[in-house]
Amino acid sequence: MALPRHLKNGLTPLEIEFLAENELIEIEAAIDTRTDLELLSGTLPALKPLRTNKVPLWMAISLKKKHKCNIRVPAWMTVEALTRTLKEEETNDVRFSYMPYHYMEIAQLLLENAMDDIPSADATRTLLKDLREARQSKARQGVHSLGESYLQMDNIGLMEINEIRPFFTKAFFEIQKLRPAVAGNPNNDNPYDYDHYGNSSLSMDGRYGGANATDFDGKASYSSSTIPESSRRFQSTQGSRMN
Amino acid sequence: MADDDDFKFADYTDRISASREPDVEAIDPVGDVAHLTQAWVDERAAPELLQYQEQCIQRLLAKIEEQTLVVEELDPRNDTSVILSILYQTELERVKFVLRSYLRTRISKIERFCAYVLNDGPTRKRLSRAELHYAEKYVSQPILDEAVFCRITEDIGDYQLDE
Repeated sequence: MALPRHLKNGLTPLEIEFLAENELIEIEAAIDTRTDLELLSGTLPALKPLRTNKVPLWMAISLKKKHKCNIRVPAWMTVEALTRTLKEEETNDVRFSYMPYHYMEIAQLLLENAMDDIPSADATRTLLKDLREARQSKARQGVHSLGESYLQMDNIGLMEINEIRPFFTKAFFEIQKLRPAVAGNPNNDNPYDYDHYGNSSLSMDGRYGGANATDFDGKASYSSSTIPESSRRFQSTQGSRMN
Repeated sequence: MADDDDFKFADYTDRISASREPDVEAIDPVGDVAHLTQAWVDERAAPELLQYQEQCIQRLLAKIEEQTLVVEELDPRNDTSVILSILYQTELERVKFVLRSYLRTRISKIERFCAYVLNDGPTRKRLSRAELHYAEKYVSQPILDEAVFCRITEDIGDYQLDE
């Protein structure tokens, strides 16, 4: 088997964590590397003590484990910021409040590896847990608005997408299979239901429907890659939005 | 601290899978690691086989080899070099992991959709030469010179069998 079965349904949580480790984070190094770091993925300026360097999270954690740096908690992960976000999350029933695409993984990795760099780690942990639960229930509500053509969820994180992906894509596929029966009915003149192209997509995109995902602005996007271009322009008038 | 403007480190995740066409290959040599990472994520998420990232992988393989030599030459008695060596090796392993997983994901799809991959024109073009070779070998074909038994129902006298 070239790929073990458990890897065949998209990325695993561990692999998503791996991706999150590529995100940049600020550290204060305790070493002087003297030279720039010539990595395969690019050149990082030399690490100097008492200065702030932006490095990938995997490097920050590696240095942290050797007590060679302190990690700066990202602005969105402070108790104040999380309290604010949680409040927003709870007051708005449908829309996700803004969080970085990899917020869950980054928070988890920092809590695991850099506890002493996080002021009031316990409070942070509790807030993150509450936030996650509030968001999870919103993602589940998304099931109700899963229409025939696409579903929009602004600001959703990658880990959160991954949790609902197997269910949503399957459900979406099943809805699609029922569709010809509706479309084939000549008496059906409801423009909402009728799409003579018989195509549609599932997308969780920053904008709408993944119609043009090149203007990506840090939000999540997933789109079934079998969608012919022709169907995309119908998305703005079809299906359901959740924002 | 370096200014954010002259900060050249590639940020992998600010790319989006849906924006790329399945048949397009990257030409930007700076972002090869980021590009491969995205290609890996895409390949894992997509139901079909996507374009093999030949150029990108060729360049990366060369870079991996170079970097391995750099790591070997770092002085193990110097503390700073040791740290550098650990960081470089960690990154090497990370890139190799993505590369392996990318290739395995593709092989898995080739095995699963073997006939389709070979017969569907656009998909066939997305394979690398090695993958095409693998796919062709993977298709089961009858072994034409396998031994068989023949029961002779009536006497036909002397008969010369074919080779």
